[in-house]
Amino acid sequence: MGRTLTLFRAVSGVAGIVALLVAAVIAWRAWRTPEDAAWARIQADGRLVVATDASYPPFSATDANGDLFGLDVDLAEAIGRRWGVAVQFENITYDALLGTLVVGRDDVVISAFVAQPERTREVAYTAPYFVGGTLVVIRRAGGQLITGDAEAWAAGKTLAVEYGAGGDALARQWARRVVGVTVQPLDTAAAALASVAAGMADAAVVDAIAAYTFLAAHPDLTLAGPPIAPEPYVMAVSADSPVLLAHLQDTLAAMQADGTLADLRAHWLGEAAR
Amino acid sequence: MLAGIQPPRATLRLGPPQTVVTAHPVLCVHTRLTDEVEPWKVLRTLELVRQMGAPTIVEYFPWAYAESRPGQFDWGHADLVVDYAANQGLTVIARLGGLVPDWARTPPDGADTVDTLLPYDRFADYGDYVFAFVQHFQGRVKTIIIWNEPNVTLEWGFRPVDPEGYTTLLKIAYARAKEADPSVQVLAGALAPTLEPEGSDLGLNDLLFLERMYAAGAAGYFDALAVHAYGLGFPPDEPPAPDALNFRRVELLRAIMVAHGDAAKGMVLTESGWNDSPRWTRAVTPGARIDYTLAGYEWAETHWPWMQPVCTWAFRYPKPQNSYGDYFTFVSPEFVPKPIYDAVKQWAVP
Repeated sequence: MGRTLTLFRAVSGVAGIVALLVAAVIAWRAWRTPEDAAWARIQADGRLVVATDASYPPFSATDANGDLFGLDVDLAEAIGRRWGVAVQFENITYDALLGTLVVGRDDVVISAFVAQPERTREVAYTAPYFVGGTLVVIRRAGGQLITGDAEAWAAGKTLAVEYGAGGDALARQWARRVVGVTVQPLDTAAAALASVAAGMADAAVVDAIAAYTFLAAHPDLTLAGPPIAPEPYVMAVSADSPVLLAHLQDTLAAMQADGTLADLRAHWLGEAAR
Repeated sequence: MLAGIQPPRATLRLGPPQTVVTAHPVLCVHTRLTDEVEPWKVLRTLELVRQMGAPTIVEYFPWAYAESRPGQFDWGHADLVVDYAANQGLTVIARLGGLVPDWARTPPDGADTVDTLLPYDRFADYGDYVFAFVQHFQGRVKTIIIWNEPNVTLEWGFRPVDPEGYTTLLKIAYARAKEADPSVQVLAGALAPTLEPEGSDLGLNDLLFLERMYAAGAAGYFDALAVHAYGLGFPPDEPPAPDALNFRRVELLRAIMVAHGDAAKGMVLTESGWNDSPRWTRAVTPGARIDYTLAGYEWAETHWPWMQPVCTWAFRYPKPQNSYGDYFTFVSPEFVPKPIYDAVKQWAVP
């Protein structure tokens, strides 16, 4: 009897310890896995809700039938396919995009969006899936690449720009600081690029998207260097959505590795953007 | 000893008071000095406004910046902006809307809210802020705008827009403003141009919103109506229509005012302009933007005697927005004037 009782107590004690350990592991896992209402909702509903300002082709816009199209739209749908969820878009003005995340109205912003560091108390950003900004375009034959300071490179050159655009302001700034810079303002970015193709200017300083799309049809031109004042486009989620963010980051990395992102960029902007 | 070694505090000595030289007093710009920390940048911005020939600015004075704790006001940055504007001979129209302090919008459960959320039981607190602002700036700021674009969901805390609710807020704010300074001019609305129908979760058509404001008794609680009108892809003389968004839409709002007996009241176009982004579907070319902007000012001078002034969005941002919004500005964050700045200056300054 005494030995049985001792054995029972021993077994009970061990069981109790095991039970405590199991409970501790469960509690530790719960603590380790942050709550993410957006991710839970996506799983439950089988739907990813994407906020986008569809007024910005080729990233996000509407066609004559009101249907969305663009690089951002394709990116969202590619993510949805990989996750096995449907994608629902909310077309909303740019100023409201981050607000939709804060109030839990939408899950993610995919909208040619450049991260706003001052908002990181409320939102979190993925790695970039595209980099815009201002580009310098030159002729392949005889054109001078930018290997150092762009301002110094500009010395003695005629720079074609779109009148009144950012490239125009930048070129004028160079002209004030560097000897021999001539600014050639034209009505459109395409005209500025055509001027380079025609040999009427040494380079065009234009918006990256305009440059990429023009280069797609002009193999005689090329980029002089990486974007000046680069603008990386990212996706945004609520700061309370760490699990969703992690999944987006993983998916972006996979898309980068298997060429999906490059294919999207090339499809919408030409090979120079790949 | 080391604790006492500090770099000299930056000082900025203002020069003698300046006067705006302009042939077009209708000219006004919406500056965005709210988040401009460095005094020299505030002054430089206002110098450029004056040199361009604009005698008036609209500036945003966020509630949360002034009253981060209930009843405790810090007017430091606001004073700097107003005093520098006065030094440059500029008249300030103060927008008092949005950026609700955390303490006034955080629910008991601590859930996240957007900073445009003003709970209905906090309207009196907003009234207190209006009173304090008007009292503090009496004699220096003579015109205030109550809230901003209350007819769009984003600006109403992502709640369904509520013309009657906004009118209640307006009544409270108007009374408190007049209590502080009976001579202050109170602008209602700052309505956003939108075609959203009743029941939309994005907002409400500005024409309908204004009608409902009048129905709720707003007439006795504003001195002039603030409105927003962007040209988008259309020239300034594009005729107005209830189903169209363009520069002359304000004439439809004017008609509503007149129909409700408010012909004697003026209007202020507190946001307007054209955009020259290379990709925004609602933009025009940079050259067209210049032409339309100048023609817009001239249209207002010729056809809108009740509109004074016409304020263009936005003069400069402290940092790039990295969106099509950057293409509304006249001067870059680095203080590089854009061609539109040069064109307006050439037009305005005799």
